[in-house]
Amino acid sequence: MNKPITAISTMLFLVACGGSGSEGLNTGTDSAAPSLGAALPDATDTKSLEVDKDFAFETARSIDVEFDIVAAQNDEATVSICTDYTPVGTEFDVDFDSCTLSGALNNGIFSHTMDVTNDKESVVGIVLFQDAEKAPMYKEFTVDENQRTKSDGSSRHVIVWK
Amino acid sequence: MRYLLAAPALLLATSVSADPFDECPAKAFLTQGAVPSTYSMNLVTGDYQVLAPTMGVKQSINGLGFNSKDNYVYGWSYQHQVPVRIHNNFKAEPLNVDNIAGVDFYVGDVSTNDNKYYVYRRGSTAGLYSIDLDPASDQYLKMKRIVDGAKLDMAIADMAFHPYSDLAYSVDHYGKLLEIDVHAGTATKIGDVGVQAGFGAAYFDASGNLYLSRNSDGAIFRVAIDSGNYKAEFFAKGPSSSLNDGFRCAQAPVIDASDTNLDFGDAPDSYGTSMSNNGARHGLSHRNEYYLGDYVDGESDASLDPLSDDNNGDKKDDDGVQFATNIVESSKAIAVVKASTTGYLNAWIDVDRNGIFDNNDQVVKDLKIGSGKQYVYMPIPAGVKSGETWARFRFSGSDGIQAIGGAPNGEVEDYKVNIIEREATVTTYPSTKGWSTVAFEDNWPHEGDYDMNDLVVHMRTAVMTKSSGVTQVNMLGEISAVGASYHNGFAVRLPGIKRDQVDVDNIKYLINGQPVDFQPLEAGRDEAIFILTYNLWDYVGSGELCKYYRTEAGCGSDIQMNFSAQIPMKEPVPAKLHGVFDPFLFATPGAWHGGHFVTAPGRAYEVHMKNYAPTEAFDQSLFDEPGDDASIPQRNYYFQTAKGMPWALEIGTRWDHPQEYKDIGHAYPYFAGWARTNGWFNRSWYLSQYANVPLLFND
Repeated sequence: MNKPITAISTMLFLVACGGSGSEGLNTGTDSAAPSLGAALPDATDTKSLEVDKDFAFETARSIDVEFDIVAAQNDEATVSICTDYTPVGTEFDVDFDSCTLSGALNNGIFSHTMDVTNDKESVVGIVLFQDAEKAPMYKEFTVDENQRTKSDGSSRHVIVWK
Repeated sequence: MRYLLAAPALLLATSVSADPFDECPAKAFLTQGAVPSTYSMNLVTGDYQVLAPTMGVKQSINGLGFNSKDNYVYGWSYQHQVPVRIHNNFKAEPLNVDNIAGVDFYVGDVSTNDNKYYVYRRGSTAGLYSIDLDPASDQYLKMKRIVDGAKLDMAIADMAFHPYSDLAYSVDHYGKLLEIDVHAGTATKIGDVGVQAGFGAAYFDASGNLYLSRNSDGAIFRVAIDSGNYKAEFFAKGPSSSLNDGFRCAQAPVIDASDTNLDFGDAPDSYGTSMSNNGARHGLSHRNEYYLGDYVDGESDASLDPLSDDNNGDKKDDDGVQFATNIVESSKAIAVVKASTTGYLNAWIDVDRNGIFDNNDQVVKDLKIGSGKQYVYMPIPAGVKSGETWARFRFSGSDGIQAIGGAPNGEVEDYKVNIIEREATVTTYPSTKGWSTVAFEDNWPHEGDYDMNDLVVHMRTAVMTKSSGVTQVNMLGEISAVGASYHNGFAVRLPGIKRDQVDVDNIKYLINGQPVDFQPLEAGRDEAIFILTYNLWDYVGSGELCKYYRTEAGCGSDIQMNFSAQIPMKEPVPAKLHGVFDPFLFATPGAWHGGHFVTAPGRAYEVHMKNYAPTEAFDQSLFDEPGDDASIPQRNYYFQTAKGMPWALEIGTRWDHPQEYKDIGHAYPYFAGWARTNGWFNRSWYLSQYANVPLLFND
């Protein structure tokens, strides 16, 4: 019989690494942020529209995740990235049903790609340690369209946590 | 132990003016305390409330039994040292009985057959006695000794008469089930219930089930006497007391089908979910302070997945637990649990995936948690196999709750979860519990009316990957609208994955919770093409006076088709899957698909999202047919008009689609600006707050 060994982390939602921040380069201004105007524009017949042949009508974009978290190098830990969360003072209340990615850190390193819908301008990363005594770590990332150029010049979103 | 100093014959000091009970009540009644109070107890949950804080006596009453002949309750009064008749106001009336035993009794019940009250006490100076309750009998209220308590030696705290036989039953201190013949003054050990301890109260129901309330912890066990299987089954968690006795009308069923003040889970019934399977349930009757998340709703019995109101209802009360990590063998899974107040949490994950919550599956045991959110760590053993399974969380003010059975308060929440291979990463789109939408026009190659509701599917995907590639793909979805007369199928291609890389034998595909009768991974293809259905109209209907499914005003209905697919790979496949992969509509084989096709095109006809190539089943010559399609396969331009407009859209939310014939550009006025700017402006055009709501389909 497996005897349950259960513990609760009493140090919840602590920002353990720098609070909010963003990675990547800001390549310009965006006059069309996802928050749209209060009054609806005039309706347009769709048959009258013309768009580029390459425009694929995608409502999500791929984001590269490149984490090398020094503070988690020596511990068994997992990382999740979620889109819905609320900063509460210096803490975060995360809706884990909004997560787009979850996996194990390998000596603090994690690399993957995920898709995030266009109405999300930021995400939060959460590192949870297998040791319940170790407080979770959080970091917020801005992922709006202004920051979609990687350092190598390719037009990709990337978020980095070191 | 209390002995009488004398045996007074007349003890009519108390004046009681009341009536018998009106009916044979389903609830059980419990008296507790040295100065007794009466409680109403729902045996289904163990939930109880005070009915009468006093009974008009100064000392306890024990040996209680309900007499269906006159609808009074009888018991033994320690104050008056004689039997008492208890009226419907729960006041005790001492009876004019000559107590020939000269002792008090705490074991007793009323025989429903011969209208007599029987009491028992161990020892040669006591024994088994009857008191006649029939006013027409010349032995009325006469106390008669049947056998002395040395000859009939039973270590019992209560007994109960079977509703239809003349036999009484009890379980002794050692767990032996005793069948008592009160006329012969004998008891036979007929089995072992497998539970030891003092049962201070025993009840029968109309089905011949014996309920036993354990004094030490209030646990209520059920023994199905009529079944011949005498093993006690944990049934509910009730109140504990060192002074405990109860009574109920044995002819009444325990389960009151009209009682909706219960909370059930929704896992498959093999886990013990419905009332008929002694499912996990919590009483909500009396100011229930204990719940998970923000809300708990009541029901009279369980609605099992996929019919649970958490799948279909407006208010979803499975809102208290979120998994913050994957569930992986040899690690701790971590969940965020939100509790309403301080209480006890118990949880199980069916890690061996055998369809039951057994002892090895308990991952949280009587963990005291506080109000609000907290991380809860749950050990997952080594060697568990990956795949879909179920988890159950129970929260209550009572400890000791098991995976099945009743609890007096609180909430149970069941969750379908996945056990993941070690070192695997899971990406979900659009998120763990979010939905995306694919919306089609099915008039290709002719331009449609852009109401984008000929087929609307809500989808959610999950991809499990290891460093060497994709190990499994999951898809969950529901058909939200079919605004088309044509008969269409719906499928998803897994880009970059070959059919022979899929572990076909271990695919699990369910429609509305049931396995399908066809192989969903399309045979004879090189590509991995997953057929969700060959004909959507096989699963949805338009309803009366409606032409389509969920597109016309006044034609709302519940979702009629949902699906779930688990598609494992034989070996990790180095494919890059994202989003909803490549969903497409195709013509139902053999079905007419408009005047521009001489013969039914079947699988040769497909409609994909813009610039997604058709599958190998598609007839490439259709690109050359007359129409509005301007695909240029050589340049990877597919399924677009000369103006670049699509026949299908993927929209990253649970999209509220337009009504029949309502142009998406009218229903979502920001759509045009988004499209004209190649997606640079108005990126959130699809959110409902930016819609012209009157033009949307309203369920």
